[in-house]
Amino acid sequence: MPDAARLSDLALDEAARLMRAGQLGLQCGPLTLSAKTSLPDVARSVYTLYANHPVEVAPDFSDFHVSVRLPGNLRRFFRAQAHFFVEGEAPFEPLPRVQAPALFEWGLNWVIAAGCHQWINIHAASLERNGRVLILPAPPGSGKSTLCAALALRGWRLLSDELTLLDPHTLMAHALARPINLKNASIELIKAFEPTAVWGQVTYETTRGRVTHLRPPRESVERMRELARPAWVVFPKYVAGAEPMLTPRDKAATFTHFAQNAFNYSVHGERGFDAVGRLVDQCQCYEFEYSQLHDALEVFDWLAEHSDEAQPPH
Amino acid sequence: MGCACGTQRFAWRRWGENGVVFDRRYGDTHTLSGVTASIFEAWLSCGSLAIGDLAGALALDDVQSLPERGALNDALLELQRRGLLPLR
Repeated sequence: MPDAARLSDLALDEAARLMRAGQLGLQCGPLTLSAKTSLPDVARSVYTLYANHPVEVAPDFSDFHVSVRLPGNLRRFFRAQAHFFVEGEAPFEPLPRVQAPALFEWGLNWVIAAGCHQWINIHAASLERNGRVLILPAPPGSGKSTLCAALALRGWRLLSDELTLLDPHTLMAHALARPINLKNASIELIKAFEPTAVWGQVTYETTRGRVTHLRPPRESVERMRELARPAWVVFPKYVAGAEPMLTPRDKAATFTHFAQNAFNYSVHGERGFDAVGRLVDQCQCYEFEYSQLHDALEVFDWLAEHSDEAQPPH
Repeated sequence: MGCACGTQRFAWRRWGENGVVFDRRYGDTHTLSGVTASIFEAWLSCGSLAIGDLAGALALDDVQSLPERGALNDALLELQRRGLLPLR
């Protein structure tokens, strides 16, 4: 069978067959991921969420071989569970079987964060506009993924929802263009914001509540090999009723946040210190409070059009 | 310990009143703020732990009569507690 340009060029049955055989090579930015599963809901989820991603059948080389499968014991049947494996090893405890599609995504996050030390891997969303990258680092509950989804659906190129990958020498950001993880009320918010968006299966009663994933925009996937230079670091915070407000943030505090929230900062030693220092030097750093997505988009669009140290709008 | 030792052991970056230091000996990163950041930077430049020398490096007047002397001492103790400066 010839290699397909995109996953959606295959029929779902064929994609599921390739995944059962462990022959589906999925291209995510600079990485090739071999995905294996015999679970139909996981195969359907991958097929839906990665529809626009390039695929290769039985690639000669894969950066990682990942699989989601049922355990070999009675947990196949009673209070069923699903395991995530990378290179044949299970790096964490199994989750309830119904969470298997989400487990595939969470497992991939872990694999990339813990295994790709050629980059500095920061826990942050990143998007590009006019060749410059916006980094959104924030703790859970800050509205980071909601904002990331809205920006990605309104002309910003999605690099990543969870992992910002920085070359420690050039400081250029790599894109993965993987699905965006949304939870609870954010799901309905983004569904109303963009009714044509495509979603994966909803998973209930996870430790994060109700979660699902949003398919990344096609253009983001098509341009995922383009590197771009970080220009802004913005810490978003959803505050009910707040007017949008962008305020400068202390650079040393921004550095410290990255040092504490990069998955592999310590692995890089002084190279990491130097790279994060240069990153903070070259970026404008802000705190951003907002309550309405449309207001937030207006502020970020303003930011994209004004590269100099101008005063943000109030 | 002289300045050369400090600059060999540490990498230092400063933004405004705050800064970050990488300790090559232990691979640790520390965030320093305010007076502590200034004292550390002064020690890197002059290599002395004497309050008078540090005050000179910070372009302060006669430190004996300065109300800041207590703050300088506190900052020195803080840096020593964190293992960034040798004990006097």
